[in-house]
Amino acid sequence: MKHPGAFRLSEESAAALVFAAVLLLPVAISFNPYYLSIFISALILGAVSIAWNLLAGVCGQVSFGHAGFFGIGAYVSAILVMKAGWNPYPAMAVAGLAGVAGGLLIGVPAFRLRGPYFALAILGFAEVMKLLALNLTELTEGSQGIFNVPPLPAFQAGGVVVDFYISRTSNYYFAAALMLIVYLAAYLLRRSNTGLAMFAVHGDEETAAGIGVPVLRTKIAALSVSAFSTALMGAFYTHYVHFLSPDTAFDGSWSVMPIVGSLFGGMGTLIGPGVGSLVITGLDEFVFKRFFETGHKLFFGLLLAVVIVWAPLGLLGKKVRKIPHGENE
Amino acid sequence: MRRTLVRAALAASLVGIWIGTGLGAAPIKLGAHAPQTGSLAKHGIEQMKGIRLAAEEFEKSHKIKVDLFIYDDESNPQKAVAAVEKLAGVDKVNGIVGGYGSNLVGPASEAAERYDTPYLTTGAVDTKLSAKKFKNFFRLNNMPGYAAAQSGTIKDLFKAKKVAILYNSLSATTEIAEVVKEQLVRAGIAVPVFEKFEKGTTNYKPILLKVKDAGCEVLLVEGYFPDYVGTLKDAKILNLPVKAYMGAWGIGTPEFTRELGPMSEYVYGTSIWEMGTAPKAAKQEEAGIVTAYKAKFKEEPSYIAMLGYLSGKYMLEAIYKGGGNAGSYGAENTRKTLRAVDVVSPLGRVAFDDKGDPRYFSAVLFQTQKGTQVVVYPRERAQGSVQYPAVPWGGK
Repeated sequence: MKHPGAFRLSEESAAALVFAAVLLLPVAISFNPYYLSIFISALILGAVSIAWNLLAGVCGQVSFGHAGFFGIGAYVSAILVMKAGWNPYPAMAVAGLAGVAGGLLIGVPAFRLRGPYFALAILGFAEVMKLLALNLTELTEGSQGIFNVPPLPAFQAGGVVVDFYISRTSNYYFAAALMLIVYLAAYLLRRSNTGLAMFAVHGDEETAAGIGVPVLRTKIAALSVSAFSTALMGAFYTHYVHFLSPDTAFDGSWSVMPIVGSLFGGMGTLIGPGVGSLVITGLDEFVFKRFFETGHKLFFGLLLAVVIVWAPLGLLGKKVRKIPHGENE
Repeated sequence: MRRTLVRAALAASLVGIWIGTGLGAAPIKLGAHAPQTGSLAKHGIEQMKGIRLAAEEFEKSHKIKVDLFIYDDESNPQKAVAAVEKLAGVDKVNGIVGGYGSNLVGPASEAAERYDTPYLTTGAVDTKLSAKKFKNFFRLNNMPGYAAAQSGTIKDLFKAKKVAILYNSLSATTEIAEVVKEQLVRAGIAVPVFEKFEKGTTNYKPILLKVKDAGCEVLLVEGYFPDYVGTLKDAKILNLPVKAYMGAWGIGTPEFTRELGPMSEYVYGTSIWEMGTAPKAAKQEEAGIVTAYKAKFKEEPSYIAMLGYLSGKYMLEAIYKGGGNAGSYGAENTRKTLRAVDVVSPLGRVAFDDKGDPRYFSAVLFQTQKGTQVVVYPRERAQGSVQYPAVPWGGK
């Protein structure tokens, strides 16, 4: 029953509003390169959060190891470009597929386990990937890291040269396009029969299995899309920052911050985690840091506690309607 | 009429004071980034203290206001890039100093190059950083300088013929091991044992036996604290017949001496600067910096703080001299002035090559003698003479 006067957006409208705001944001900040670089980080995190939420929020499989997929994507793309001379664009696509391979490697055995074992196994998986990056020195340069990773190549669009080395604007819109792709992949999957199955698996695995839902295949599908998207963002990150080391690529924050962004934005929606990531990054850089230059991270904890206690559905949880089930049946 | 004259005199004196204090010149905008939080914060905080002091001292001596913009890069490369973008793109600083760790300085210096802003660092020694020949990149210390202190001592003081090098597989230790080996071989000294060990190794006896079999006179361990503890312990068990034991970083520190007690005696280690190690020509400057630092921060400056101070000083002087009195602090002029620097500092002679690397940087090498670190090399900075042959376990 609707509350009189309660205003709730559909998922599609909320997403359209968010991406319109993302499109116009550079104008609002006068294309300032520093502010753009902050929001590029936010968009990378936003896309990873949407990917994480597809697996955890929609399918119910909580991951503490998305840093593993992020790092795989970053390293595969950097190695293909720097050691094999690939163009960064196909290298990024292959990096995404490498993320899927990593997902299958851990998901196929771990999804057969019950309880919190997948969450624990994937945490270990991320650590193993980091150790591999540290020790496969012929490929990864070990702890020294890979310097001078090339930026994405410039291209011409409508007579305008889109450059990625100098221009932060190009990188911003590329990151926004990637976040849109990740969102659309999550949205289309959620609207499909597999999406319905994911919802059922999230609710109760045994009941889902009882009514004929292929539980393992459903989890694998969610993990594959999530891992591909996260690895893709890792690949973009390496061509944006131009440097890579095991400590940065497999940094624990790539596992933790998507969780924070999703909880803050609202795990019940698909666009919520993206919004959450944009808002927490903006708050951290423009508000918290002004008051506490060195202790600003403390505010994340406080903010998260406040959100969990007073708004457990997150920022958009009450404002965005869930995608209706069975629309495609 | 009298009132007009008084007013005119007052106005003239105010203008005089204004010019005299240098307020007429355009203020210099100096940018700095370093880890103030995260894993490298301890070093970044030290570095920033030195930079702050340099800015204050420059204001006093040149009567020009310095606007210092400082950002915490959180020990994170992405944040280091954002900090440089803010410094160069938003604050429009005339030069950037700071940065700690090659993995932060690498991407940060690349961002400085994009914004055509001179960048002088003291916290990154990886040789790859200068390989791109960025026109804005300068640093006060680099890897060959550390290696030169070790190979110089072995060649000039020990006059050794055979050296064993054991090194931790981590990046910095691997690189210094390779550079020292190259320098030794070039000097005609054989390196029959060149062995890598993994972080966490506890049994070094198998590789130490190789050192014994090869008849090496010097054991050089490029590692960290646990590696020194392990190799010293096993060398003692084997009574390894070498004449000297030398380490890279973190050896001979007060913690090291406290933990190892007599086993720290006679070992050699590298440092960039220690109190009283400035060359003769820079003794007065060293004393001045130390006094000012102690007065401001109520503590002794570490070598990282000294490096921070000197980077701030050289950058500010280059901006000022390059821009002249007109206050047009152009990047090209600053770069030219930095390239022309050739001075003797508490670290030794400072000048930059065309890649921005230091031409003459050499770390100092000390030996622990009766629990105290005595600088023995290079000769012009030595505080005492070397005790050779001598190793803590006896040896031969």
